[in-house]
Amino acid sequence: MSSLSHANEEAEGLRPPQAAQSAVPGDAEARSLRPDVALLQKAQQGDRGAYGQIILLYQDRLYNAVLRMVGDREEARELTQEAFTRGLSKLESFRGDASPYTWLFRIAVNLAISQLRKVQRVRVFSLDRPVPNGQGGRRDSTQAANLVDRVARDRSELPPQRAERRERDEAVLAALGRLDAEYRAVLVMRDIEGFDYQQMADVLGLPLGTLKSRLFRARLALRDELRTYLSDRK
Amino acid sequence: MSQNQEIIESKLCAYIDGELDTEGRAEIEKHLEANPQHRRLLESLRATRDLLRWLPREPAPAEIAETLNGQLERSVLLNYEGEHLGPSIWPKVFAAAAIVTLTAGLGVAVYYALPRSQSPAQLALHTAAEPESGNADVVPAPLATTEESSRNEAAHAGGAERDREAYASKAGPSRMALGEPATLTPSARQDLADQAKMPERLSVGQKKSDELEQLARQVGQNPSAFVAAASNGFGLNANAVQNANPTAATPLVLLVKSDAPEQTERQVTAYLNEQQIQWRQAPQASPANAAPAPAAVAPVTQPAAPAEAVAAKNESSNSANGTLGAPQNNIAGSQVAQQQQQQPRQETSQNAIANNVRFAENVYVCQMSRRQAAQLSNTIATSTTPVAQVQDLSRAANSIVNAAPGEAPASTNAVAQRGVAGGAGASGFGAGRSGAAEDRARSMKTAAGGAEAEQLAVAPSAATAKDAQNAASAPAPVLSKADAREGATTQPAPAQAAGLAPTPGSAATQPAAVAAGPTTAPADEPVNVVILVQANPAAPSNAPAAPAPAAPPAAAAQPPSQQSQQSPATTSQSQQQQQPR
Repeated sequence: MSSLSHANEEAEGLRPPQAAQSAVPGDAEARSLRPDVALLQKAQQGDRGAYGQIILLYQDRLYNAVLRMVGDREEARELTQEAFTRGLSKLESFRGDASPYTWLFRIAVNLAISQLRKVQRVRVFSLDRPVPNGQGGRRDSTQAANLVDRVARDRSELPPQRAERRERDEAVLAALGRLDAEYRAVLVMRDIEGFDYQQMADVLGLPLGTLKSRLFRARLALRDELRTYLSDRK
Repeated sequence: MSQNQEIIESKLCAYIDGELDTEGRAEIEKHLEANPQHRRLLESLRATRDLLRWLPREPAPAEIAETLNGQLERSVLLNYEGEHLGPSIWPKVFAAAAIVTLTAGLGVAVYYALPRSQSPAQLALHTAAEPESGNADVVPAPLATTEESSRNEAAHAGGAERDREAYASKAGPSRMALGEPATLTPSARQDLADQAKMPERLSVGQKKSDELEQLARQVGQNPSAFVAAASNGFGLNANAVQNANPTAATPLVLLVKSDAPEQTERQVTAYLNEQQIQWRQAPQASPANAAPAPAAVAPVTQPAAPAEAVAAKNESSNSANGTLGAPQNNIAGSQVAQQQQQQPRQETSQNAIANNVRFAENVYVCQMSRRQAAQLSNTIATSTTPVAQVQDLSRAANSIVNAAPGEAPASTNAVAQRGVAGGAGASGFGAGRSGAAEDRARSMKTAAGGAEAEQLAVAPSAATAKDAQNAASAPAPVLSKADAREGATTQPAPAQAAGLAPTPGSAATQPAAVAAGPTTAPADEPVNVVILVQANPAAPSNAPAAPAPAAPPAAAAQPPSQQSQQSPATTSQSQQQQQPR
């Protein structure tokens, strides 16, 4: 399994973090117990504090995913909050066959797709408030975040290069905002959130072949949107 | 999308992500070696994927966690469920419910706070309950005092609210709210005018009720005057006729002479109750009150004329006045009438008053339309048991009612002082209380189809002695052309004004003329009606009910031009009167 899959499992609690594994190496039960699942089970039993911990655990990741889909921060904030609220009201619907984040992300992506279909507007993505890498910004343990940070670390943060990166990100977000909601969803889930095909199929309710085909077409569409940028770079 | 294409795309997607198995990866690389453009395509797609992966991650705003944790804490403290978190629709629902509640409450408050006048239905109930309670002086408070207040109250009347909504739909809401009827459509303006008249009608109805009470008292005080008027006819009441107020308030006086007064009274009251007509029974005139009235008017100075002479006078008077029932005696009768005009008639008048007062049984005062009066008269007159006759004494009674209470009625004085013009019936009553004179008078009346009817019909034409002479000289003065023209144009003859047609029919046919005759008020306009029921002194107990004489009807006696001017109602009445009763 690739490093992307490992990071994804860590993010969803399937694989305990490396620090936890080293801290409790002999406790098989502690290793098998997924923290987010335990918290959600406590929340199902009426522990509101446990659900509050789930919110703190997933809010950044969920917010970022929703933001990439809808392209508006305020709208992303409202949708994220609504997703957590609906998750709390539908705690009994969680049966444990999927990870808690996948369960919450399904709620959020459905809300985002509904919102995009409702609004039917093309958003212009911007990076008005880019994350200051390595300078006190919040870090997520997701694979995408690690990848971005890794890329950022590999590069020298010279001003010209930083400007080039900002220009590139803006172009990518603008191209992403011009795609259909379904293409945005699969691209965000796969290339930003790092979901595997089966998780994506579960969230979207699609067969694997159809999902892969839609993902291939979404990448083709995004490449067409970025053709001008890519040709300029070359 | 074909299945093959979907499979190829799924394999390419998996190849880009590095999740294709070894066999599939080898197959694709083999293909890419043969097609370098496909390789470049896959490389561009992989670069696009990397661009998405390199996008920076944005942290969630702090307010998300703070808001959600705050709601969670409140839910824990207040033991709320999870569905109470986040934005809810219930505040909006509560706000809408509050607005609706406040609006409804304000409407109810305004509805009950604003003063309301009685609706017509309530007023009708109140008016209908008055006779039973006996408190006729209780006047409904909200009745209008001025026209303006009446209109304002009409706007609040319950019965008029629906009409007002209809007006609002016609005229527009803003104008109606401002009360500007000037912008209304003509139909809406007419409706508004009708609506504004409603309280006036109510007020008029109340005034009529008061008038009814007053009229009942006056009639109760002077019943003899009415009876005297019945006996004397209208010939001598020219002044009263001229002074009569030709308005709807002019009382319609019906004298009912019945063989069985009690049964007739029951008929009258039954009809009034059936029609839901408000009625009063005038105070019973005691002999002490009734008898002095004629005596105070004019003392009897001469003894009553012999019955035969009176009967002869009656006959001649009938002929002189153009009695339709005896046209064959017109010439001779007119000569006798000329002689009679020279004789004092106070004696006959006083005797008639004295006799008729004794027969006055009961007096009823009510308000009804002329149509209803005609129907009542027709009901009474057409009933076989008891046999009753109805006379209209309206004009003569008007002067009585207009007289001040307590003083001698002007008509009575007039009757007493001026004598009787052609009082066949009166003379018959006065002199023929017994013996052959009474039989003769009765037979005359029967032969003529009702002496009283004839007398009332022709009385105007013989209002004075001069008129009587003129009438006597006429070949067939049933109703002279001049009289008919006069009654129809300038000065309506009393009989005509009272609604009686100058036809020789029996009394049963007269009520139809009450409604059909020329009246100053519409047929449906309520008027004060005084009904005097008295026993018929000349009840034909054994007299055969002789049919009307085969005399030429009034239409036949009139010139062709007069026939053409005769109204259809009169024509129909004439046809009815030809039928034997």
